[in-house]
Parts: sequence; structure tokens; C-alpha cells
Amino acid sequence: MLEPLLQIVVRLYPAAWRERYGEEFSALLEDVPPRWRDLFDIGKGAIAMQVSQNRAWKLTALMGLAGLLIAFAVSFIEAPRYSSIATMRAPNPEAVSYISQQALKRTSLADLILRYDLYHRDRYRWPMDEITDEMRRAIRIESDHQHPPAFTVQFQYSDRLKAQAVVGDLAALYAREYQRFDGSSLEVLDAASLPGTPLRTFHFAWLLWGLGIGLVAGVVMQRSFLWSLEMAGFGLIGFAIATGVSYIVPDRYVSTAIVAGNLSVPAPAAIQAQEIPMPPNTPKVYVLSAADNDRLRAQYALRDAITSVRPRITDVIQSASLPELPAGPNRLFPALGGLLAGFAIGRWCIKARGRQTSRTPLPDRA
Amino acid sequence: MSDPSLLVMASLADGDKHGYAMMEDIQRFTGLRLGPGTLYGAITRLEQRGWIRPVASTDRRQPYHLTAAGRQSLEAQLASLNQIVKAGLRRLNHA
Repeated sequence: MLEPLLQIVVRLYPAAWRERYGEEFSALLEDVPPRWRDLFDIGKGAIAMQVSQNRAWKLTALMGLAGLLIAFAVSFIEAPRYSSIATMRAPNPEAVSYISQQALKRTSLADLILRYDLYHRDRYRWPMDEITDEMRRAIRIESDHQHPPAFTVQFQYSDRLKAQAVVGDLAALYAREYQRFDGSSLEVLDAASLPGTPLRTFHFAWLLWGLGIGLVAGVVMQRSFLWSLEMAGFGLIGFAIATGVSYIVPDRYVSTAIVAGNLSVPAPAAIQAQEIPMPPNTPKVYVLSAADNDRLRAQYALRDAITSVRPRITDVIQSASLPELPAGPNRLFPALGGLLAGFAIGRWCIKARGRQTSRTPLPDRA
Repeated sequence: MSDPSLLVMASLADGDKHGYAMMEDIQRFTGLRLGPGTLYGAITRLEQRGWIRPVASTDRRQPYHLTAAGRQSLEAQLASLNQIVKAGLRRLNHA
């Protein structure tokens, strides 16, 4: 079983080397009783030979290409985003500036988020403030320099219909508020568009990053290939152990509900209530959440809590959700910690081994 | 003391040998068993430097010969090692 594997690994040597030494090397392998550690020894020798035989540039190019391909693949994992845009003409820039401030207020954005059920998954994981900040970053209000005093309102979102609906609402808000502020009508040059093709604006930057990291890795590996290989091995072991250990901690699911009413009296324990900023003279709106290791239990706990405070609630805007994805624990940081710890241990081991092995000054390395 | 190139040259110092014979010989006088990849990495480097050369043979097992330049290099390395060993032992005895 081992002999065919050894013959496969021998093929990793450069063709020119195999041409010169292949026959006698095969004869040696026939004489030597096969051992598993020889598999690693031959593989290591093949890589060292590839690097030493002026093939370092190939390794660098290969790593660059690998980085490029990985970046290309990763960019497709990102959910596609659609951009809807509306163009309006308004002679009074002060009015536009004032309305823009109103439109981007947390209360206005929270209203749009709830109305169109935007950022559905993120709302189970993050506070409303962060969601509104994210939405604000996805909205662009810019002057249209080609057709002054026109301006554009743009919104990017993963659902093209919802992107169009939000831009339509924002355009309606501008029209309504402009009339109230200026007394004149705002002209809508282009209504909210229905985006067709998704945006992939990060592709080029990601590809450049992938290529750059790949090339740097290739250069580092050239300088000390075996050292890098060993360090990578230690890092991967640390990463795998930390990831495995992190799965001992069970998943945490969060069920959320949105209610209107007066919860000035503290909500039941284990239930968190967060007030959503709303316009004056409107009922207070709260996001209630309950966490549990079981997603069904989290939902039941929240339902029970809503029932217990029912007299103080005027409306249940969104009933207790059944969480689809766990909100925690965060397994990325332990995994990264394991990776770094693996590197540190690897460095220490290689250093300790270097201290134990007294090496002869080598004329061939001088 | 475990540099494969030095061990290969030391093995060839008393006569021509092919790869398997070198491996056996090195294991006998150092207790170390060089892997096939390590051994042929050293053979490749030494041949490129002109310190060993293949000997004409009809067998698939290719014997190697230590050249004059290789012998000179081996002597220089062993003399250097000898100095280190002597200095080390002297200091150990005085400590």
C-alpha cells in the first residue's frame, strides 16, 4: 500500500531532476524497507527541490493565483445587492438639506425597517441602533451635477423590490416635506427604479487583496519554505482545537418581538426590552427579546412574557419570532485565538528544537 | 553533526558507494537513518558543487565517488569540527 504512494510523491520532484536521478532513486526505494515517515521525507525533499531549482517564481505565481481564486470565490459568497435610484429637482437646497436630515433620522429609518421588514436576520442579532446605522450607510443622497439643481436618492439592499419601495417612500417624503417647507412642488425627474443586475462593487478590491496576500505568502514561503510549512501546520492544529472546543458551548438563540404600549414597569427577568425611538405623541414601541439554548424555548419564554405584561401592551406589532440562526456564541474569535496560539507554540517548538540540535557550520550554506 | 551533505561525504571517504550502501553506512557510524528524500537532496547538492561524481555503472544503483575538491572540503570541515570539539572539551574540563 505504501509503495504506490511513495511513487506518487516522487512525481512531485521537478521533471529535470527525475530525468537525472529518477531511475537510481526508484532503485533505492526498492532496496529500503518502506516506512510512513519516508513519505513525508520524500515530499519535503520534492518541495525543497522545486524551490531550489529556480522554480521559486512559479511558487510565488501559484500562491498569487490561489489568492486570486479564493478572493473571487469569497466575493460570490456575499449576498448580491441591488441599487434603486430616484432623481428629483428642487430649486431650494436648504429645504433638501433639512429634509435629508429628517429622512436619515433614526425614527424615520426604524419606521422603514419595520414597514418593509428590512435586515430581518440582523434584527435578531443586533440592537436597532446598529441596524439604522447600517441602513444609513446604504442610503446615498447626492447632487446631480449634470442636471442642477437636481439630486438623487439611492438605496442599496439585497432585495430589489424592497430597495425600490424604500426609495419610493423616501421620494414621497421629499415631495411631501418640500411642499410643506418651501410651499412649492418638487419635480420628480425619475421615479424609483427597479434594479435589474446586482452590484458587485467589491470584486476588484477583493481580487487585488487576494492577489497581494497570495504573492506575499509566496515570497515568504520562498525565503523559508519549510519553516512556513511547519508554522502553518501548528496554526491549523491550534485553529482546529479551538474551533472544536468552542462547540462545547451550546448555541444561543434569541427570539424577538415588537410591541407598542407602556412598559415603564420592568419586564420579567430574562426578557430584555429596548425602546425604539419614535416621533412624539405616538405610542412607545419596544423590541422584546428572550435568549435560550433551544430556539423553541426562547420563543415560548417570550410568548409567556408578552402574555404576563399583556395589560400594558396596546398592540403586538410583531409576535415572538422563532429564531432561525443562533445569535451566539461567537466562534470566530476563539478560532482566531487558537490560530495565533498555534503559531506561538510552533515558533517556540522550532526555537527549542534549534537549541537542542547543535549544528555544524555548513560550507554549502555559506 | 547531522548535516546530510557532510555525512554523505564522510561515507564516501573510504570508497565509492550507491545510495542504499551510503544509507546503511551512515546508520552504522552515526546511528542516524537518513530518509531517501534527505539523502538524494544531499547527493544532488554535492554533485552540483562538484564534490562528488557518479561512477560509470551498468546497475540501476548508481555509485558515487568523492572528488578531489570534495575530499578537500571534507578535510576542511572535519578540521573545523575538530577544533570545535577540542575547544569544547578543554573548556568542559576546566569548568
